[in-house]
Amino acid sequence: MDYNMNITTAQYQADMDGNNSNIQATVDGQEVHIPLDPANRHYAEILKQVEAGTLTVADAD
Amino acid sequence: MTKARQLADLGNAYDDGAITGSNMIINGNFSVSQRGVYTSASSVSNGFYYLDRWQLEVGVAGTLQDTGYKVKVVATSTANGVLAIKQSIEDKNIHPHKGKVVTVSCKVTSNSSNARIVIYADNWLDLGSQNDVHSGGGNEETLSATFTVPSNLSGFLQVRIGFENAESNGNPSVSANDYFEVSEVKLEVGDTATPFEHRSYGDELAKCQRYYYQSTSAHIFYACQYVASHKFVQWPHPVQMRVAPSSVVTYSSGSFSPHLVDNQHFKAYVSSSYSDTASYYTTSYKLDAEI
Repeated sequence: MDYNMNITTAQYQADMDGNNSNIQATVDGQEVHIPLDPANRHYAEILKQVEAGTLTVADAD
Repeated sequence: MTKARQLADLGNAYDDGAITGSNMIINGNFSVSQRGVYTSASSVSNGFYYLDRWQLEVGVAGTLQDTGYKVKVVATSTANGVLAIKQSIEDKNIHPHKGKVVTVSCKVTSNSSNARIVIYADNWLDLGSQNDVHSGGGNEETLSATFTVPSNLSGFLQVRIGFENAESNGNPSVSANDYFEVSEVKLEVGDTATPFEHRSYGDELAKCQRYYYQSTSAHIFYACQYVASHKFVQWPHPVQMRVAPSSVVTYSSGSFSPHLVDNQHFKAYVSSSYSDTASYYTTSYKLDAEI
């Protein structure tokens, strides 16, 4: 069976220069900072769920 | 010493598992458990890691227990579904062996004849008669499966052990209290399962930390003033990680933001001026670069 992470919130985090540097997300109930690297399993899952239309990543504050 | 004696000694070393370096499985003897202590049976969730490098596939409710260089998984309900442990071997490690014959082996004790080895390599591999299945007699048996790593494998190779059929065969029928207990998992080049090799704990831990590491209770890092407006905390990973890791870090105070985290180091900053006399430091951290 496929493992679908339960991602309930996701928001880009900007660095001091205003560039998106990572995503702060709640994954399986835990707050996780996720680098923007497609080889990272959490980021890959976010990309998959965004593509499926089941998750939206909010813009950075 | 005669040549015959040297050969005999070499054969003994081989039989004892003293010839090392051939096992592509990490933590195959379940000695490393950074995430927690599982010496009591713990309920498991699908997709979660418990002992290092081993992920749970949970289609039937169950528990996991570290039974001392072995892991025991017990079904706690009756259903048709998968209950298995699995380890993914990253491309960098399996790449040199694409197109080659390899053998996975392990020791399994089970009361179910559904306990077996399954291989996923982009697709489910049909292991046919090359795949041993446990008799279900309750004794420890050595299971092995020999197969060819697809030459066109595009991702990772996954070794799965437990109550599972190949995908095309559907889910096995699992009953409450069915169990399997696994030890000495090995994946090696060739068509023969050779004795398990015992690496030192330090070597095994370092291999695991390429994929995950976390703080111990007494291990903290302090933030230092970097520019007039911000303090930084940073540290190198204990080994180079597979990829830039996801992080769960807690701090003594302040709102830290990870910055340019890569597979060699972690770094985060917090808004704080020179005149800020508060101490900022990590209170815990978990870094995850698993597959």
